[in-house]
Amino acid sequence: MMISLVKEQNGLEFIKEMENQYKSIEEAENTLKRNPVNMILYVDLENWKHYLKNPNEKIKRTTSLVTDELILGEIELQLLNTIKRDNPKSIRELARLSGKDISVVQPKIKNLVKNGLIQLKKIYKNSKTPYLNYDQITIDV
Amino acid sequence: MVYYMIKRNQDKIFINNKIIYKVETDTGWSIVIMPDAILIDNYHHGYVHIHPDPMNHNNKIEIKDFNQDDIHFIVYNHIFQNKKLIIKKLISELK
Repeated sequence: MMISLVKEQNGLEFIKEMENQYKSIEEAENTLKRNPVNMILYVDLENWKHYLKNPNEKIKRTTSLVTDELILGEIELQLLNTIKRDNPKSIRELARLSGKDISVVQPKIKNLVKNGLIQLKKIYKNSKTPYLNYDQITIDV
Repeated sequence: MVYYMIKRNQDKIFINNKIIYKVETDTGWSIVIMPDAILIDNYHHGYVHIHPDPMNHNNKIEIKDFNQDDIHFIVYNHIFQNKKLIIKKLISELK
């Protein structure tokens, strides 16, 4: 089974993501000099420079996961929907909005994070905000 | 409102502890297999080639003039079936 996560970005969004990941072009170039076989960084840098010149141009980015495990059941899909639609500020709020017990939601969220389907961001002091970074999820069997 | 066409695609597939990275730009395309750092692309030389040695980027082997999707499919199938990368075997599959 292949689960694909699709997002469309413009150049500015792509640059912001690169800055979050590598801080600056100079720092990324230095990292590449130290580790010239990091081909993903090589490709990211090439794109980064391109989007600095073309900030409004769009890029379609797809991340796919080939797995034999069924990681998306009914509850997971419901949680993803709630995250996308209601933007809950914490896992506790997500559990409340989806009408599930926190003890059911916690391990599901942990699994979704592990598989890269969502991210947790520490925006508030005592909680982590679940964040769905994709426009589309497709499953191929 | 101005609409901009998607000119670039970036695909990342996680399979059998490898990442196949597929990048398409307006000037060419590349496929990267990580963590082995194997690069297949059609940049600079005008023909499709593979860099089998990540420590020597000048080492390149011309492969059959497949399009990017065909090569991506061959690489994907290779890793799916062998559960690892066997570089010599992959090159023969691409020739």
